[in-house]
Amino acid sequence: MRRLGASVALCGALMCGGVRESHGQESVPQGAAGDVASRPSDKGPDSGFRISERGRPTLQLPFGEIQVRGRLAGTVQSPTHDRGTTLPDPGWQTRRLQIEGTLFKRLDFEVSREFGEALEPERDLFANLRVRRAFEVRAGQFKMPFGRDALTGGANLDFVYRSLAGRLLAPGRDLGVMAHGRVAGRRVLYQAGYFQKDGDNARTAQTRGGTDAFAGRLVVTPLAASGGALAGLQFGAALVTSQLDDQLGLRGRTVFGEGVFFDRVFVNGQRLRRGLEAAWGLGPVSLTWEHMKVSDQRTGMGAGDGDLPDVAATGWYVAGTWVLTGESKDGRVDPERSLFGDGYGALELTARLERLAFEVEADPAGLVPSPLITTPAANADRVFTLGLSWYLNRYLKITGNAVFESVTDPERSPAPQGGSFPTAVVQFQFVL
Amino acid sequence: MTLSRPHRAWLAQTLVCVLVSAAAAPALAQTQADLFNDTTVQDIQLTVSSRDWEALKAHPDENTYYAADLRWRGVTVRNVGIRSRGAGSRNGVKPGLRVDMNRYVDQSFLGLRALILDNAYTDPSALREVLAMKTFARAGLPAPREAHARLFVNNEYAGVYVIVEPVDRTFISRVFGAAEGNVENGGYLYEYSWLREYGFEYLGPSLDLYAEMFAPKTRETDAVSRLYQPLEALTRAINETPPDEFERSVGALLDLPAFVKLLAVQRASGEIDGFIGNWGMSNFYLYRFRDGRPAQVLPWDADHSFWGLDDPIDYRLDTNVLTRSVMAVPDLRRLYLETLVSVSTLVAGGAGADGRGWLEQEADRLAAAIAPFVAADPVTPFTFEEFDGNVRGLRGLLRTRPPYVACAAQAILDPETPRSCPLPAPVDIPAPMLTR
Repeated sequence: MRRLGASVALCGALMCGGVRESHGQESVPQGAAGDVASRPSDKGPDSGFRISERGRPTLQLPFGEIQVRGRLAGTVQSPTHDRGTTLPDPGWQTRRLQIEGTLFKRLDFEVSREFGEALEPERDLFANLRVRRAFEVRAGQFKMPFGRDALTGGANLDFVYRSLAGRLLAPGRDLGVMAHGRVAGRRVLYQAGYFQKDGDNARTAQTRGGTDAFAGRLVVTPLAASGGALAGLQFGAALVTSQLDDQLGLRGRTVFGEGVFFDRVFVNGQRLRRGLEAAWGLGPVSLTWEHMKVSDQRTGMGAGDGDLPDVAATGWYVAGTWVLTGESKDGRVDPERSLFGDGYGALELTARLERLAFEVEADPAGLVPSPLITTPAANADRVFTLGLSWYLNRYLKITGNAVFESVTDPERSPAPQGGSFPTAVVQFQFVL
Repeated sequence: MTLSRPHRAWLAQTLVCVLVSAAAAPALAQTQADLFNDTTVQDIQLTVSSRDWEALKAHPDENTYYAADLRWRGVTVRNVGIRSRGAGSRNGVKPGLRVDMNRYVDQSFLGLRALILDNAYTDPSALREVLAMKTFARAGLPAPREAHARLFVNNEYAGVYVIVEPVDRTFISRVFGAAEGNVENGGYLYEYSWLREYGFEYLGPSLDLYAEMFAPKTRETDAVSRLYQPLEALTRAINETPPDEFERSVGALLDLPAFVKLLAVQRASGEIDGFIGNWGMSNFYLYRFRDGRPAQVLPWDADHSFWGLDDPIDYRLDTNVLTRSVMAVPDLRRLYLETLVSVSTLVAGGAGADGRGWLEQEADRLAAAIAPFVAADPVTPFTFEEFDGNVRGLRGLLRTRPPYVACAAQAILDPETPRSCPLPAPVDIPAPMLTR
């Protein structure tokens, strides 16, 4: 019943989205860095309520403006014989409401909430002070600066789901304060901050995650001024450290979350996240690569209070997108000829190869079997995703992904007969 | 009356909703209490590839998991993991099974992460395990819930089994509260593994020796010192604490009153393979609470209960360091004897004109319920006559042992009153209504 209701509601929302199509353009945020560029304009001439050029309800004030945004997405997952599912599985992916604004030209704020989620429904809740372009300060709850895929806004994702590394290894949101800005002629983006905990991706209803996280990220666009084919080339690196106090570490889950291919292990000491990223875009084509590694210490957890080897998780992906209808790729694709106007929208072909592996970082020769110590065996999940996205207009998108997943150890796979299993998923998304 | 197209569509959608809801309702209504409801014999269906089922039976000593689908009363759980289980009852004819719901897929069945399907391979009556756990529960001790079931594998009847609630985090949450079952901050649960005859002697400071016998079932990967140091400390305290400090010092580490009650229930019910079994300690779990409260011993695998008809009430208590020390504490000794009396009264209580006490009535009820299915069991190692004879012997024990236990305990509690408490002799009491 709930699912049927959800489907009906989603359809209704999509219809409403079609009505709103006549409003103006939307510039697409690019993660934490891009959020600054996508702030609502503060040029409103009069006070009062209006619909912005981007089609968003806007309250214009003498000293700034406040806008309402939202995102609604539902998915239908195919049945999969290997995993024992027999019926299509529909459900909500997100029901997000967001209020954001700019006050006194320099102070931005954002409040967002995910409806239908019992655990930590609050998403962003922060204020950002623009001292100047090279120095801004953000405080509150927001995404920690780590991981390109993790920092990309949900509305701008090229696939139905983020990469496994972006969902499981990147820290996600937390309460903190961060300095950030663009220097060297906007060619260098820096972000550095302190966070009370180490991100909502690392905790669950029963596990508390790390504390006292220090995070830093640097993204360089070396040829931005050249104007050539390589102007969009970006390289980045990020680092997060946090503290673990005899608690459960990270868990390896499959793409759709139904399988745990590496269970949590108790860890103690320091958690170190390291990430590298590269991206390039030219017109309708884009390429992205990311590699990240998380090492959790197990200090004093062995016999005689000795240290045990670290538990390490390594993830990477390489992804490519091509807008078949020729529109330029700038975050979300904005179709030149929308379905409800004079065309059929925009079509984008996407592909991603990724891998996420967990292991105990030990010299095999140094591991002596002991009844005292349970050493979890290494395991990995390799995923290939092929997708097609149809942008009906700037608000509506239908994305189909075929996901081919393979877990190294079939005994810890949702498809125990061989470890490999394909799944198809279709996403319907409305973004305001 | 003609309906417009939108109205017809709405009506069709509403009908679909109603039908889907009606179809889903019975499955949603099932609970754990329904599964462990022993007023009926449950039907459990397993669907597993024939090759896997044959492999499981060909290698009963291995713990290899095989994928299967579990179905009970319209509730289906796909891709569960099943494996052979048991100690002395392991066999390839009628394998005991462990069913792990989340072996492959992160899922549960009525909130349970696993189920045990006990093959009752060493108990011709197939009743002892269930009756023992009923007695623990009635005595106020945490015990697994159980119910009889017919098992069908690939739609073929595979015999009478006992569905047993596993002692795991889910069980701990049920009996001690959700906080204790927390995966990160809950307590420490250990399953005692019988390796050799052992009676809680101090094994020295090396933690390996404790780890061999006490397998952690929660927080398995926690620090060695957190997992095993408390066990070494407990064993050392049991062995080295002077008698006059025993209750206070050891009592701070182990819930001695609860332990004494467990001992008394086992002894009253003639358990021969429990904490003070004939082969040393066996078949129990130890639970250390998250907040440092004294640990508790939990009963497990009681299919050798109701065998020791004429075991004296202090039988083998002197073979175990812990029980020996406990019995040397007057208050605990008194509690042991009082519990023997109360459990005997409980077991024999509620007797009518026919002399059947509560537990004998339960035995009769359960025996009558499973009798036709035992008769049809294609793989049981016992004949129906052996089942019938064993039930009669069990009824005799339930009729004669409680008066002896109560009498013997009272004789010590009240030495001023002269009593004669002869050991019970075997009695054969035919069970009513036992039909094939």
